[in-house]
Amino acid sequence: MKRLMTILLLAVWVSLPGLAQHEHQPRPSPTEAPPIYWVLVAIAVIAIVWFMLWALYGKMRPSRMTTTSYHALGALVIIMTLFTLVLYIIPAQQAQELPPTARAWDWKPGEVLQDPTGSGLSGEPYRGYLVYLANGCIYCHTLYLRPEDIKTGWAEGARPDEVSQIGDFVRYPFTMLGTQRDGPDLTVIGRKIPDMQYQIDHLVDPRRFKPQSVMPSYRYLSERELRDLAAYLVSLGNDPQKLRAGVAPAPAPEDPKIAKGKELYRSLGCVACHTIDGSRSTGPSFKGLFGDEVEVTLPDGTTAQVTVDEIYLKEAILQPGEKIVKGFPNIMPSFAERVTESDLEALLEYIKSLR
Amino acid sequence: MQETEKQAIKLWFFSSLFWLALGPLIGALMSLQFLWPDALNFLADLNFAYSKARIFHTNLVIYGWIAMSFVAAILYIIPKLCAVELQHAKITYWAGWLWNFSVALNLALIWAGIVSNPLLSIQPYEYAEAPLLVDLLIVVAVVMVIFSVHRTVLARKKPHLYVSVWYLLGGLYTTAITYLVGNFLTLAFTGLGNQIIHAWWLHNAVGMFITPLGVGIAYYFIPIAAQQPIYSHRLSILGFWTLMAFYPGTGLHHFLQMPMPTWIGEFAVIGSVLLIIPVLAVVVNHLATPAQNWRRVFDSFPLRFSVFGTVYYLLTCIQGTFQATHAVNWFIHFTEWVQAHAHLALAGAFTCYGIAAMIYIFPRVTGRRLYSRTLLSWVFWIMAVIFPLFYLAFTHSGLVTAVSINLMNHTIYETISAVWLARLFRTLMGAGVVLGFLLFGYLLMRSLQVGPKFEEGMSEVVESAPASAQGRVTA
Repeated sequence: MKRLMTILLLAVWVSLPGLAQHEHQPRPSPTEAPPIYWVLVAIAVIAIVWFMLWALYGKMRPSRMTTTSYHALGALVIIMTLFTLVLYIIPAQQAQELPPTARAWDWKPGEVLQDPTGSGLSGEPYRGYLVYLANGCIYCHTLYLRPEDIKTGWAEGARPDEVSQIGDFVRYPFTMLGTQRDGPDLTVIGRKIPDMQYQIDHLVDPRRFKPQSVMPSYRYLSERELRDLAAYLVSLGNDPQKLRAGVAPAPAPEDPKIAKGKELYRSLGCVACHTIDGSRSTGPSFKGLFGDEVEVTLPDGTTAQVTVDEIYLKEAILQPGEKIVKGFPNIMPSFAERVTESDLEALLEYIKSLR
Repeated sequence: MQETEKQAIKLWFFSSLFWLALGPLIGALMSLQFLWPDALNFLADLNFAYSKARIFHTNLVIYGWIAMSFVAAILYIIPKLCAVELQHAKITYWAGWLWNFSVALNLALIWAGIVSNPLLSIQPYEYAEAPLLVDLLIVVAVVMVIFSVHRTVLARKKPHLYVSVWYLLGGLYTTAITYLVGNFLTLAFTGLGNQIIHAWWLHNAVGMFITPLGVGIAYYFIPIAAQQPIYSHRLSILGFWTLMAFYPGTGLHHFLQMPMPTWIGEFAVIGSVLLIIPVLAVVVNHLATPAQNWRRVFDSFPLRFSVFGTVYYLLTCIQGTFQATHAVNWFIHFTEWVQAHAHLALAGAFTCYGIAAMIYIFPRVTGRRLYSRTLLSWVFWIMAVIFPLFYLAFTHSGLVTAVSINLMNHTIYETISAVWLARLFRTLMGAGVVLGFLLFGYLLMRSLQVGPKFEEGMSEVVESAPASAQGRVTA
């Protein structure tokens, strides 16, 4: 028995340096595991076989127990628990020492983020992360992308290469990956909607922008907490260096109609589903949309070719369900009661300006 | 039984009853968020929201109801099995007050939502949201309980250790370790390392804390209520040691698809599959023990609830093993089926064990029998019929979500409308389950006043309800 234990301990000792040399891959296969893995597997197999033999043939009656053996067995329980803890600490230690990836989240306490839209709003993303924690956002939203998510559309607006890696998280003081999704994943939300004012308005009244949303209102948050949380959301999926450098405020459009349209684009919540940089989201991007030839689905299920002109756009805003661009879900609410004729024209001018 | 011991048990016992009434009620309330979100907007005026309600719900159910009722049962069982009085009963009594205070303070601090305070802000770990200040208080309370129970076992008059003592004492040790890891060791890690340690805690909150204590309690009440010796001592020891060997490492099956070294994930999955061994050992023992005297399952309510708890336990664990494998996990991860599984374990199996323990202990501590067999039958049938429907609706919602997202490429908003009906059914059935818990609380509180006197040898529940109860009152 003693000899066996000595051999096993020696084997662990010998394989420890291998652990340090093991070059870390984001997702190595078990065959690439360090030698200690196989040593541990061997120990586990031997222990299981030994235990089974003992359980089947060993002496087993409720026996008198001395205080010493009682303490020894208590210690064994604790050791067995701590053994797996050590197994968990090894990869945990490795994970937090990996170099950050290029897109790693990187905001320090006290750092301020200026709203990229140039609205003059600002907030501290690091503190926003703590607001995110204190209000339990983690119970409906996740902060990481699996390969499946990119295929299936959980990860709206994410690029195919954006499957989360360990290095993305090394600068977080702690992680809140989340275990349930009752709302969208937020890994790239800041790139999808880089607009602090929209984020604040959405937190205060989510169903103003997304009628089907089940998110609760967070209007009880203080002004500062709202700004910090919005800054955190905007920081997600955006290069921290670019945000920190301060994105120049967009030059005011000369045409007042376009300016009004841009304001409506935000205040009506179009921003939630339609991007202006061509990236994919819940609805078609506005960039280059005007004048484009698109295939649409009619209410009876047939498809048709349509040129995006003023008539089509007006119809799409007032009766969105009539002609749905193929490949997008039919979930847009009608804005017939929320826009006036002049609002519509301003919006069309704005969309035209994004060619 | 000395008076201080009774006092300690009563305190833990009735506190757990109070939290049982509150925790599930909050769960039912927050489920409305998925049906009529605007109806809960008024919560924002109270600085409250669904997300905070969810932390309330899990914390109350685990630390308020499950933990306190289990400790009450432990304080009753251990002295009985050791044939000695509870040592330092006064300490466990004060630990009970400290525990209640911690749970209440925990709720207050979650509600306050303080940002960026090292002692008062909540922590980012599921089931360990309690701020550091509360953690410290809970650690003190747990140490007080362990001290008293440990001294009782050491002072025992019987040399033998029955399997319940193994489970309960071992479970208390592992509870302590698990709690320290989840609330304190996690502070030492950043980035994804933090998440890996969090995963260790996350599943062991159930595996190393609730499971051994609940199973240990059932191991006591099943043979004693069935009036049969335990079916196999060998099996019980096998179950104990395999549980201790396989359970602690399974936590990462909650994060199988997050970026991490694959080998540790494989370790977690293999452990989860191996768990079927201790589970079957426990289930065979629990069901084969009363099999010789099956009539008792219908007569004795503690036995009926324990056996039912074991059936739920078997279903939970088979399902858990299935869900933890890669082939299934990617599909159902992030969906409500996982929460449904958690409800089957905590609200099904372990709540049944807790209720069984309470029915058995109540007359022996307060000296009064439960006054209404009808009412208790209602509680039982709610747990036997309404609860499975609640669970099925929960599962339905989870599976529809999985299909909608993974196979049909629907957006989150289309999915929310697809599961609306399942969630409505879940809320209705869930409200039924909550009603069952409230009925149970009412039954016990009312029995304090009108329950007839209990003496050892009597059944815990009177035979026919209202007439005799009223007779006693007027007498």
